[in-house]
Amino acid sequence: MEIEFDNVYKCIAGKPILKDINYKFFGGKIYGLRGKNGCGKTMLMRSIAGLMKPTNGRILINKKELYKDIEIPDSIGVLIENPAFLPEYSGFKNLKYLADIKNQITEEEIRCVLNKVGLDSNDKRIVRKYSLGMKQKLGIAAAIMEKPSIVLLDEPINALDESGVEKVKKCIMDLKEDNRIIIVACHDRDELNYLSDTIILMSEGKIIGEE
Amino acid sequence: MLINLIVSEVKHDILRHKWRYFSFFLFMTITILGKCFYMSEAGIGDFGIFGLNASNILLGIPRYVFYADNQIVVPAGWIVMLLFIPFIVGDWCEYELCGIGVYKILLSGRKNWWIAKFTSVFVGAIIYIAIYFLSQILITIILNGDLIEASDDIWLYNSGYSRMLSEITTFYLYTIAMPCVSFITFFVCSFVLSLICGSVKSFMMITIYIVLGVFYTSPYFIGNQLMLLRSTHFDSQGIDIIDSIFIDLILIIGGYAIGRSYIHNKDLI
Repeated sequence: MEIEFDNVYKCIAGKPILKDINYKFFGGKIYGLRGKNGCGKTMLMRSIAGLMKPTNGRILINKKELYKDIEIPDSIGVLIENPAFLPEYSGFKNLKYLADIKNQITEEEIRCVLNKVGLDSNDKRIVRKYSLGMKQKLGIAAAIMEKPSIVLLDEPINALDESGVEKVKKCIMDLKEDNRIIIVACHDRDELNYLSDTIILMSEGKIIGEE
Repeated sequence: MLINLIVSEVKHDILRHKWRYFSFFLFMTITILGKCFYMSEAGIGDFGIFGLNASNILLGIPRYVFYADNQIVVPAGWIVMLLFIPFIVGDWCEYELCGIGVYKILLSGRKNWWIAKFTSVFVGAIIYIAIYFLSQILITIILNGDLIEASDDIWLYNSGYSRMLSEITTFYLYTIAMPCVSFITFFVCSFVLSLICGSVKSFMMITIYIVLGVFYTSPYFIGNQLMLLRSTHFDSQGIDIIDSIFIDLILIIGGYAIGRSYIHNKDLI
């Protein structure tokens, strides 16, 4: 598994969001993105996910060019900021709805992933009644349930309590196997240091270094 | 995967919008029934002239086709009903693309998602038509079949139109087939417009479009074709069924293509 950024530049409403990004991500590693608010971490992840087309440059996923050879990476799981689900469905039903699209996983596997992130798979409450932390956990479960090759997690421990953070950290560490690429953006420096094999430093839309 | 996605999209959209369907049913039934009772109480008309084409046909009541004169009457009630459509579909995509729609795009791709969503909206339009007919049947049953037929005198008194018998096929085509196709077109175009411009702007644009259609009889104003679903009178000189359906098909295909291109290029941020 490999993701390559080749001179990627993105401009929105005249303002550069990503500037000349050249970087290669390799499988089996967890990458942490660090930088101030608005430095381009989320945009970098969205461009990998195929949600945001670069103005210039290429993004190659396993040598296939995104937006040209492929529309969306074949196997990707994303935790987007403020994950929104169908408010009138339960957490399980939301995941079942998504899982039915590819039909790759069973109901049992959905329940298992819900339990893994710290949600009760038998909880009948609808998502509208979920707390912020529960929605966050559901977002993580949606991102990882189909065991994708690329996992992008934007602020995964936001709004989580201590035990929630521990469970999510364990989930992320478990994902490292199977040559996956995991990219995590997080404001908590300690947690990011703990989770990441490589930390990418970003500032004003540029990658300025790595640790 | 595409088939799975389409089936899932249609199924869940139907389930999620069940209250919208129900409110549409109530809205249609209550407004039309109200109008019928009002006209009856006021003694100024018959029960058959407001929105009962479908029930006329379904219950085998004799049908009539009328030539309208040049008088322009703004059908406010009908316009309100039509505006129910952009209201219904307005938030359909806006809401999804801020949440679960993104997950679906990630799982299936933009193209597949758009095909599934468009199909679901198309099916949604057909369901609304079915609901319309259902409300017509209910009204007919409530009012009793006899009340549907108006005498020539009442009709002339009420509208000033003269009544002409016409071929039954023409009647079916003009008052059922064409307005149903136009309904689907209107539904789909409202959806695409709201996807691109947002629900508020598209609602305003559609309102202007419908009201303009009252003053200009042109197949480009599909609100006129939709009117035929409501009323047993129409100006057959003003609307050509071939032109209308052709324009409807162009609008549906164009709507699909524009939406597809928009979704393909849209930054989901």
